[in-house]
Amino acid sequence: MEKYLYIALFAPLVSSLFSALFTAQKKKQFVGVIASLLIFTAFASSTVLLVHILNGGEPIHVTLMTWMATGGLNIPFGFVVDEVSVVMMMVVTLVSTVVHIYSNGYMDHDKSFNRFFAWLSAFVFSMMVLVMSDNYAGLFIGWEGVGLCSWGLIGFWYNKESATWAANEAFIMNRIADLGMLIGLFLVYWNTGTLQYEEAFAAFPGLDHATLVWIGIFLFIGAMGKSAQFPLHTWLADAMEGPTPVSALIHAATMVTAGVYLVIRSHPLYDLIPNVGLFIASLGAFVAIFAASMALVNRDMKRIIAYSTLSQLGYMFAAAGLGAYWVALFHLMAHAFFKALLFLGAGNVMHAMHDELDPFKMGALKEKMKWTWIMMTIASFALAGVFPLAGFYSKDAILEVGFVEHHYIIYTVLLVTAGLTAFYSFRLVALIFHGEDRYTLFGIHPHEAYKFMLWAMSPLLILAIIAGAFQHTFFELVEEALNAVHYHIHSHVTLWIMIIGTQAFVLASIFYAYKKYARKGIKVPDGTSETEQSFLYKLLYNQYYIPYFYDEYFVKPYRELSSIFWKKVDLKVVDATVDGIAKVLYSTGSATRGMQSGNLSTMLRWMVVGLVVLLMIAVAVGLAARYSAELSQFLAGLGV
Amino acid sequence: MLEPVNVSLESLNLMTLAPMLIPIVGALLILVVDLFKSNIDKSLYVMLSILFLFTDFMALAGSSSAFMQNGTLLGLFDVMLVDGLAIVSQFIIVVASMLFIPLALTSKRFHEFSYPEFFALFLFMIAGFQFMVATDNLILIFVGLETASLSLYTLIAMHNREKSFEAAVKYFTMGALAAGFYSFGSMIFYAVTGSVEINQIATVLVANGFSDIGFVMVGFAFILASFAFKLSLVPFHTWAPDVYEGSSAAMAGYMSIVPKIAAFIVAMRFFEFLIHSGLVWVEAILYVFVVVTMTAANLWALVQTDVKRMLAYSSISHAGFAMAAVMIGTTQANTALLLYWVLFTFTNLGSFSMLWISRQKKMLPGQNSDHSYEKFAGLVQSSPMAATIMALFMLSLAGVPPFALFWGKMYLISAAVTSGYTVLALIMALNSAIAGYYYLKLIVYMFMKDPVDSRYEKVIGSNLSLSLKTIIGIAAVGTIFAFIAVDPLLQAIGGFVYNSGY
Amino acid sequence: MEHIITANPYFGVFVLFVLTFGAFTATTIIARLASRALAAKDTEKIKLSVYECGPEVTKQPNRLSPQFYLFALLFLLFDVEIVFMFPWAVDFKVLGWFGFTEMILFIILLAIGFVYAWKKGALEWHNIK
Repeated sequence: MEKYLYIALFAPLVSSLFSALFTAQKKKQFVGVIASLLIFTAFASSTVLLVHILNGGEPIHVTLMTWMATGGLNIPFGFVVDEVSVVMMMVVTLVSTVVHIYSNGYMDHDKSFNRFFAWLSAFVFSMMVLVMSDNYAGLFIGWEGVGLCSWGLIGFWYNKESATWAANEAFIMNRIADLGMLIGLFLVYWNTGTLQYEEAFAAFPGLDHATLVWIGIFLFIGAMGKSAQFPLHTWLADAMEGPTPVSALIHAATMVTAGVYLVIRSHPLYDLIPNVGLFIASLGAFVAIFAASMALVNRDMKRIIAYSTLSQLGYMFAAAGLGAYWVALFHLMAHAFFKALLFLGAGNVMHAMHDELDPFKMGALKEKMKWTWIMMTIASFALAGVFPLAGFYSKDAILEVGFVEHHYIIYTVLLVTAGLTAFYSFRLVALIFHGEDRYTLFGIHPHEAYKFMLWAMSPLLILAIIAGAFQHTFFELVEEALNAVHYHIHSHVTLWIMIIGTQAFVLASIFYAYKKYARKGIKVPDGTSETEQSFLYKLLYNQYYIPYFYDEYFVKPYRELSSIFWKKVDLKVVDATVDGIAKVLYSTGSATRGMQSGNLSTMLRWMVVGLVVLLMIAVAVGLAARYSAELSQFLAGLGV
Repeated sequence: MLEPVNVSLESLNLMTLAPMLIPIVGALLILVVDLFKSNIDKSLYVMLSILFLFTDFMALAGSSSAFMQNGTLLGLFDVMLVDGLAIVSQFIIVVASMLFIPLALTSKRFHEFSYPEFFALFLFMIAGFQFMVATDNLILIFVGLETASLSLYTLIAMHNREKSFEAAVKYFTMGALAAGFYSFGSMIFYAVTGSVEINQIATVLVANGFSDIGFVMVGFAFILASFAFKLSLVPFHTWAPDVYEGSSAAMAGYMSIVPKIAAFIVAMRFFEFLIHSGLVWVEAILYVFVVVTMTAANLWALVQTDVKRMLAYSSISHAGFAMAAVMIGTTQANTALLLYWVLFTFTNLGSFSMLWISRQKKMLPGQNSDHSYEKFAGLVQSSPMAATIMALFMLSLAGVPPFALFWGKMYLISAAVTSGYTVLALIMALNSAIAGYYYLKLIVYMFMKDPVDSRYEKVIGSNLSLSLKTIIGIAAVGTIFAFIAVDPLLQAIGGFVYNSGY
Repeated sequence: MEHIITANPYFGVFVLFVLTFGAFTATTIIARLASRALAAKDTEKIKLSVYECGPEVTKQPNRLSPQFYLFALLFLLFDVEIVFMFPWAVDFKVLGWFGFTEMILFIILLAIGFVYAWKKGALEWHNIK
């Protein structure tokens, strides 16, 4: 079994290194094919491991090597495949396989085709390290690795100003959060003396409450950055500058869920501090509705889906914060399938529309792109949580958790969000695929994507439909690892009312969206209509003015401060000091370099000078030793 | 009638001699091959050399496993001494040589490589260095030293430019003086103790309580002067920059590594018993040498305008740095020295190879030296890969984590701190900081300045060939991934050093 | 100093060396200083020429060919090796097979060197390859 673990872990690395060999060269089709095959190998190995764990096999634990052993610090490079990590491995490898194959078509005409696969596979490797590590240090390495790869992929089209800006924004915001995470890790190490999950978890109950709260908060700050929770959420929408397959893999299915994974992984910690858990849940619920509201009016296809991701991450945190870790993990998995599908569908549309992102400029694409239409519609149904698709099971479970745990406010917020989700998803579908074609005005001739790209998406489609059926198997799988419990609503009547009520609400929202946006005569908004003039619309459209606020109150003062420091402090004090030291050293060097005249006689003389000095010391020492008695007498006579 | 001498082969322990005999046989074979068929392509000789070096490597592996089973081996009338130090240093010598010799396969034709004698002399030289480290007999050390040095002088001169002849003659003359120092020092020790074996000398001196301290010091002064020459400690370093400049870049890189490790091993064998016997003066003198060499060479490196000369001075500084370990003299320090040198091998050979690929046959008008900083200005624009790799080696030399030399410096400094040399550790750290300045200077030139002259673009990489790429690749990988290897290396070297009692 | 002399029979050599070294240095310094102080300084043009007495410096008419040096070197090399063989021959029986093997190896090495010199044309006049 360990063999499969190594294959699953290192196949992406091999793929990345292989592709990296060709980065400086022209597009080579075989690079994409081989990379996809290797990632598929990782996926197959993960499946074997999943079957092993499903059949009640023991978790697999390997220690690759000791990474660092200095003093009391001992960090082995260890990996573990248990119930939690195997689920994550499945999600990561499955979606990456699909995305790799899809990218062969999507990046077809890109001149940096090979570089794309190098980065993408490197990302998969980092993600595997992140989820498979058996200690916080390894998790942190993977964490930074995915951050780096995400930077490289968002800024993949580095000659686009906005792409590089977005890449840097994502990277820097994550650094801020990582600082919090690092503090959390130091606290863990400081208090427990280890970074191994098992040992640390065993030691947590012995620590005092305040320490645990601090650890929990700092680790969660790290999770907030990676999972783009408020107030560190702005980077995710901007990250849509990257190629769409990247958005599907990194910014929907895998990397952004790392924060949720961290909270789930650390559940023995968060079980001990329910107050922090409640905070996480409340923040999650807030982000869910906050992001959904921004998605309502946005006019950028990818950003709408990005906000939807944000909103769904909020759901996951809400569940995890309330202690329903298995529900969070289940939603994470189901969400990965339908959201990746949605993004890849959006990629098809983008290709067809020559990178046009405004859905108001599309319309009636369903005739031209039948399969994409079907896939995106089903994915949107799944996202909205319509029975019997995957989203229904996972999202309904989260609502039930809120209800059973008597957090009615969270429940209500999440319920409203479900309606909003349904609305904006179908607003998008209606605008893109229904109504009349508005794209002809812009001279675009859409066409369906390559066949194999559609085939590549099909596993996700199937899983988006049927994943809900595995709820029970999933529960049994993680039952022990996550202390999972069923959340039963005692009265059957309440249960049915809830389910039917939710479904009705969702369906009504869908219907309203269709009615409003699938009709004929929709115009490309030009900022004159009444709705667009309203305060609420402006507020939402400008993302609550938060990016503006950040720019005005953080970026600009920081720039001011930096310039003051640069001009006043750095140039006058620090630079002057450093330059002064350098000048002294430099002039000493210049002054003494005459020793190196290149003249052989001078050189020989220097050697003899050295020897003579040595000999003089030697003779002095010898004489001193020889006449030490006399010398001491003499010195004594002098009164020394 | 005297009884016939009966020498059994087992008592000779010929295995101890095998690693040196292999390159000698290889060198003779190359000469003989050339006699019967001349004008064979140089790549055959390169391959033959690698083959013999590899056999040498295997023989070393054999003696290292014998060492691990039986401890230190003596052979050939107890003249050969195969202990951990000998084995580790021979590994360094052979591996560095294996990395060096493919550098002969350049895309341009160079005078020296067209002669099979180059490769024969090269192998003789390796045998010489191996003899030097695998014995504690002062005479055999001398023989090894001279074999190696005489071959080296010729190798430098074979580069066939005016500067190379100058370098070879300078090196030869000064080397002759140093050899004189060495033999004179040995003579004094023989006069005082009646033995030419270091451990015998130590026993006798300790037994009579260093009663002839004056003579011991005079002998020490001579021996130190000769090794200071080999190790290029200030003020015996004056040959180094000129010789490095005169020889080919690849040869210069090689010279900064292999002859020095051989000299370090002998210095370790010789000086440490003196220090351990509590001769404070020996320690004080070495202390001064270490500090002056590190600092002065660093300062001179600052003001160089030629990258190769800068690297020459930086090599001197690194030698001073490593010499600190000999002065400290604990097991930890000696281990750190060997580790440092292993890591230094990769980095320094890599950086000199980067100069080697940009070797020009003729200088451009207005160019003063072969590898001026201007030549590398704006390199990132024309060949980002080369610039990145060069920057990587510079960062490693500057001791930036996590690259190779950072670990070497760290262990060396921590060895100094553990043994109570806090001030020395501080000086070492300060010197690393100063050194960072001139390494970064090259990076600034490569990454932040605009190219001075577009003709330089063609020059960079003009000498590149597949085998050079391979060697640079190996060096780069060694430099980047050193952090993985540091721990096992330290374990292995530590074991060897500890078990040979140093 | 007594015990040193008795314990180290070569001490005398060392003393001689030091004296020689000192005397040599002193002599050269004295000679230079003396000549500088005593010499009459004449800056007449002809006095500044190489031999100080008139004749123009010309090329050496009968240059020695480097071949002579090479021959001398080779002769010396092989001649000196014979020196090792005499003591071996005298003690041939005592040294036995071990000594014999050693000498054979020595001669083989020499032979390779000899063949090398021969093939390279070092033994022929004006014909070095």
